Amino acid sequence: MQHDAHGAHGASYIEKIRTVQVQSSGEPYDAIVIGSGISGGWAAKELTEKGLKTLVLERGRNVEHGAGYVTEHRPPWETPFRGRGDRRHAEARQFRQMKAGPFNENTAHWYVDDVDHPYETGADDAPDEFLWVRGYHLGGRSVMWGRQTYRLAPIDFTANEREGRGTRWPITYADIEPWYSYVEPFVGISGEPRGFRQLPDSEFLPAMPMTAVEAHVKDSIARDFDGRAMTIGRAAILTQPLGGRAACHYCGPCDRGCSAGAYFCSLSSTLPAAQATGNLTVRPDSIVHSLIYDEDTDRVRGVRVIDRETKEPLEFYAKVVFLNASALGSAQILMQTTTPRFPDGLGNQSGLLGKGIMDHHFKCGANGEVPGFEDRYTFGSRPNGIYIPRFQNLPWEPSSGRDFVRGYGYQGGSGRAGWSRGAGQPGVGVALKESLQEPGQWSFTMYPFGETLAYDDNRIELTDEVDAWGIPVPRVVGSIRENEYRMREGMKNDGAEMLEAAGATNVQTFDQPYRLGEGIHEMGTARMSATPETGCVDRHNRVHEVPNLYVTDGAFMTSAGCQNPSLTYMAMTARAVDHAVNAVNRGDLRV
Amino acid sequence: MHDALSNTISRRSALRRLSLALGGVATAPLASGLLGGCRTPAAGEAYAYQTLAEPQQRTLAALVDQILPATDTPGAADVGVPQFVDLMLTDWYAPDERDAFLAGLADVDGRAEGGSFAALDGEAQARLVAQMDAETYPPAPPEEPVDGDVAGAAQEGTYNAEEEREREVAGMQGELGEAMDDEAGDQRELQTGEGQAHAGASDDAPPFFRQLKELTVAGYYTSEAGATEELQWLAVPGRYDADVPLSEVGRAWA
Repeated sequence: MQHDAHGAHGASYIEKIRTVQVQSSGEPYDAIVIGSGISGGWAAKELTEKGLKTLVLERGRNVEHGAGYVTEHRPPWETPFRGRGDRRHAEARQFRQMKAGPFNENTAHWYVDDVDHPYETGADDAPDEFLWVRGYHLGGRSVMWGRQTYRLAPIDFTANEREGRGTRWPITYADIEPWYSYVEPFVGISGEPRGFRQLPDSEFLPAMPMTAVEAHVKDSIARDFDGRAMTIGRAAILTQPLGGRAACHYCGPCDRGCSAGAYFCSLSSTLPAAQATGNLTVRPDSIVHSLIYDEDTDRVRGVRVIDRETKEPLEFYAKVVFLNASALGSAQILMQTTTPRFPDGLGNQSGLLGKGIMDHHFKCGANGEVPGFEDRYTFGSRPNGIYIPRFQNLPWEPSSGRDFVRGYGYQGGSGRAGWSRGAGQPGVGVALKESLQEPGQWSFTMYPFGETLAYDDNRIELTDEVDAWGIPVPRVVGSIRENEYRMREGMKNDGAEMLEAAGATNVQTFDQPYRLGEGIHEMGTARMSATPETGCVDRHNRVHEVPNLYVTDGAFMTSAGCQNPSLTYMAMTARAVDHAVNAVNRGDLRV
Repeated sequence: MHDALSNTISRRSALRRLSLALGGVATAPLASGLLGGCRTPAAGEAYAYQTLAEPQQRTLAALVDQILPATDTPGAADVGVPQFVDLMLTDWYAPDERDAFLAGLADVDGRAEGGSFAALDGEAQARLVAQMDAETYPPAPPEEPVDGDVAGAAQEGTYNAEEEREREVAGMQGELGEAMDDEAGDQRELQTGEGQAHAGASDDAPPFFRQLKELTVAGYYTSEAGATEELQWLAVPGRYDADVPLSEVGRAWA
């Protein structure tokens, strides 16, 4: 059936990833990549395309692209709880994951079992102080990510230094810019070039269109607000075929999986490219215990693994190791690797490993109804919204200063109320049925995401408990502070102000309790720094003290910006692989 | 999954192929017409009730048909709403929530002359349901529509009809993810955009009739007939048109 779907929109042909349960062997690989998510997939693609025999270790189960997307296109009447989710199961086994925004009846299987994968968190009175949302399967969270794709801007790399806050980035925008341009044509990002200084353009595929209401709000913002502008969301979703991937067919819920490959994920994009080189080996069910460190050479020699199914310990060896296990996962692996030289975790001379977790805070904003478009509607489900780039605290615009530092951008969009409004309004019988045959009011939601600062006591550390595989259970604690709370006032009020200017009615602000981690953009646990005293990885994402170990997932982020971060991880991964392969070829990296 | 539901798969595949053959522009009603002889099997035909006894089933079936009756499309009882409610009561509701719902159902019979709502004639059923609706949705202050978890609508810009629908359904009784939360009451109020009528009372379970109406509406419009005959639903639209005259689309997307 799914093949029928592709036929109408251009063929998609994506090679199935072959996986093996290879056992440890004396024969080393050139490279090992730990993790198969959005950055691990890129590490695998770049390493293999540059000729390195590469082993990808994935801690979770295998997922086959297409066949593994068990809820794709499932209609609501085949969904047992009609979208409300299996509450009993979730409350028993996914009591943390169920709090993630994208968790629902059709995506629950992508999220981990909280009983099997425990973590401790803050004080007893705030048991869920940190929300750690995880997907343990081949492709990781690239399978169910939000697909919003933005570059960081020059100001994001200089903010810490400008303010004398936190750690200075040892790179500038100029260092990453060519690597954004390198990865973007492969990712496939639909969007509109606008030339914003605070939000550089990517290499774009054609943009998705705005609804009549969005076009109206966009015009109103351009007319009524200096320095503010709305554009269509920039999404890693194809508006035309690319490689073996088909263009979007606008079914809507991407995160169930897309057998057409219309959105970017490791399973549809990077891993097939890596496999095509003949240099890729993928081993799922491989939980990393620690890295094998050689005191004599100051290098990692390989990786110790526990097989998820058999619990058998295994070892794999390579010249270079890439850590792409997620910001918290990678920090955990470094902490689990203790040696006489590094009693507090590998590469932790600074004492900052695991500290300063950042995220993007959200769950506040504004919404309102937009009258005057009652005769307009939409066809198809656009898996994308709008974006309003940050307009606060721009160094070149003194009037944009606020009573907080950094800023926020808005996502959001418009839609007409659906049938569920029927339960909230009076009326029964034929009249109710007839009233729901037409779509309801247009509404517009302003949904901002704000930068969080790096507070060193927002952290991950290891406890004395161990999980079923003998791996220490981490404790993750964190919260947002005064700067973020001040920011949230602006996030709500600016949104309401823009809606009111556009003639919206019933404009309301909202502000729900936000837990650090809930943005699923956790980052910053092995921050990039100029020196080993001020952070964990150098300007090439290489652990300062361990020259053949790279960390290129969100762990390296020194500050967060307010933009969705995945594109930056991808670009920095490609850049780091280039550096590593040059080093291998020079003979600098050896076992 | 219910056996009866799997009976719908062949028709669904036929529909999907058809809409693609037409370039993805076939609306569901049009496709239904073209498919002619394919009748929608009544969802829940093979469902064995687990919580509701027969008299309760009759009361519930009569109630949901008063809320969403058969017109030129099936009514709520025809599409399996009572079976959906039974599943929710059995496998989703907490025991105290289930008991409260069953008490509400018994209360309806208690208010019916003769002690059985199902035994009333259609007019008397309609009068009682209209009365309960008026009690639950007082005219002033006007209640905001439950227009689908507006506040939670756009994690990562995924503001689109399909995902909003999923949140809409999930959000009607507080999003599943928030059900366990300490602040669930406050959040539910924000997420569903519920109006002031329920502010301050949001920690309490919603009144029986409101729950019944929510379950009926959700069960009906997520059924195959509710989604594809009464409203419109396409598995694979094939294209996105951001601005179309409503008159060209016709009915709301389910």
